Amino acid sequence: MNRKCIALIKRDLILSRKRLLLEGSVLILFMLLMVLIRLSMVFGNLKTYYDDVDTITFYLWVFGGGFFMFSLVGTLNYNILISDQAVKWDKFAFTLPYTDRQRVLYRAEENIITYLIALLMSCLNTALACAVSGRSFDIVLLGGLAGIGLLISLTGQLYHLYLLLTHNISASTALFMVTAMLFGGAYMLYVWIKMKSFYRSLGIELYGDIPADVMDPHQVAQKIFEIIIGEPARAVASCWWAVLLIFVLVFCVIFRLEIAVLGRRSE
Amino acid sequence: MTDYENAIEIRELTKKYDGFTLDKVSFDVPKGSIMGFIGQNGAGKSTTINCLLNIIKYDSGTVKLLGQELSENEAGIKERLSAVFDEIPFHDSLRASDINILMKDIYEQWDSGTFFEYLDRFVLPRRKKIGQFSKGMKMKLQIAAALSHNAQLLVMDEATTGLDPVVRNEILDIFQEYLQNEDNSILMSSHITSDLEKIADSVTFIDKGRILLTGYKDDILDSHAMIKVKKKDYALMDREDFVSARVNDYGADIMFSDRALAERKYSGAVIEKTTLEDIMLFYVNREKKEWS
Repeated sequence: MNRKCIALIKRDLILSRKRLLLEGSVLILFMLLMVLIRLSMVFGNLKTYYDDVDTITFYLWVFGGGFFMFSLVGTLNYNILISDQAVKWDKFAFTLPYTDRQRVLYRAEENIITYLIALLMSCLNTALACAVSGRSFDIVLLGGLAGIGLLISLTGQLYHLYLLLTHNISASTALFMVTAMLFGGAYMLYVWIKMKSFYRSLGIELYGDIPADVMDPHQVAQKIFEIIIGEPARAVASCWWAVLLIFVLVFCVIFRLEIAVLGRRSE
Repeated sequence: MTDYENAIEIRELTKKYDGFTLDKVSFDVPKGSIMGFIGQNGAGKSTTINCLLNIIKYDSGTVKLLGQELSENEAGIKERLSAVFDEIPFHDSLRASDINILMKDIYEQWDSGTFFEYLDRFVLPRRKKIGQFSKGMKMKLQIAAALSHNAQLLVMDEATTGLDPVVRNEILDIFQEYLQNEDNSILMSSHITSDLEKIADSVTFIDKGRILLTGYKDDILDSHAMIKVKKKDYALMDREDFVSARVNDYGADIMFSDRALAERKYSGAVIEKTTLEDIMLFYVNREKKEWS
């Protein structure tokens, strides 16, 4: 990473300082809230419902916090990109002593840095959740968090590429939403497929082969939640290297495309 | 560092858009001088500047900045030039002191001392957010940043447009100081011709994507002449002799591109010195020949 790229990353951090502070405060509040819920589950009013809410709160704590971190910190540079267009920094940036490669490289580097920062913060959050809940911080949790982060990061990178191509913020935002919905849709499909086989085996496991609609709703809710959040995480964790390889490849392709698009100087 | 005669050399620069063509634009900005780039809105000034700074790609032609083609060493050349646009490109949430932190890593020759000297001179607060600056303050900040990294070429696109005369004068003084160093040059596009009349060494007129005139300002002003005649005299004049004529109820103001011809042929008429604004107006209306 050279000095000039660091200069632009520094600029983005200066521009984001208020937002970073705000997001850091919200994360601390979130962690505090989850600790309080946990305390209530052990010593307070929620003790009665401990079994029902234990899994749900744990996964919500870990992956909700992770999703929050990656969505906000991990996509920091794309928000700056939009404001750069508004103040015409993107035009001015062409007058600065940078090559096109450096201009794209800095955003890619920044993307990796913000991804790692978000991953670190998510891990800290997870470590706290594990410590308070008496669970172990295993590869499933780490893989799940890393996977969520890569998906969000890649969505952001696609968004950047499209913004470079079209200079159209609303169209790019629409693309971002569509991509997010596609990822979300793929995720729901995965969960649904898992649920279909799981629901039947759950019924047999809990009650023998009886109709599913008489199963204990608390148990079912808990298991469903485990599937929604835990299963994809487990899936990512089991083949993390393949996921990482695909993401690195896609990331590199997008990087090359961005340099090509920038080189065209389309208006 | 390459030795060069012209800070900017543009040859046959062409860029086609749907409905507009920058058509084989050629001109030079001699080293150590300030060139005024004049034209009405939409004439092609910004397109030319964007092409020469490689903000947009041009279709054909060559551009040399500080003696080198941009494709040879873009980052190196841009280290030695500054661009100032009509709108400040810094975010409202930044402070002047942040610009120093940012720019000192971007430019190898960034001089924080010079930057803060300019801030003090322009009475610009260091800790106030740029969003709270007036338009004049924002422009001064942009110029302070542009002049603090030892740039040898300053390219300004409508930078003084919208500023009050006091601020404009202050900025023009700074430019004149900047040009005390004979290695420094300025290309300044504007449609405020009075500013250029004050400080430009040479001017280039552009209209509808074509260069109409380019050369030393004094030569252009000396070679042109404005003749005021009565209506009956105007009717007798040869239309091929002049650029265009502004006709009113009493007579006509006529712009000649050849002062000697005007003096020789119409010796009885009142011949006046012309201004850059007049030249621009009369050239813009050259196709109509007669306008009011």
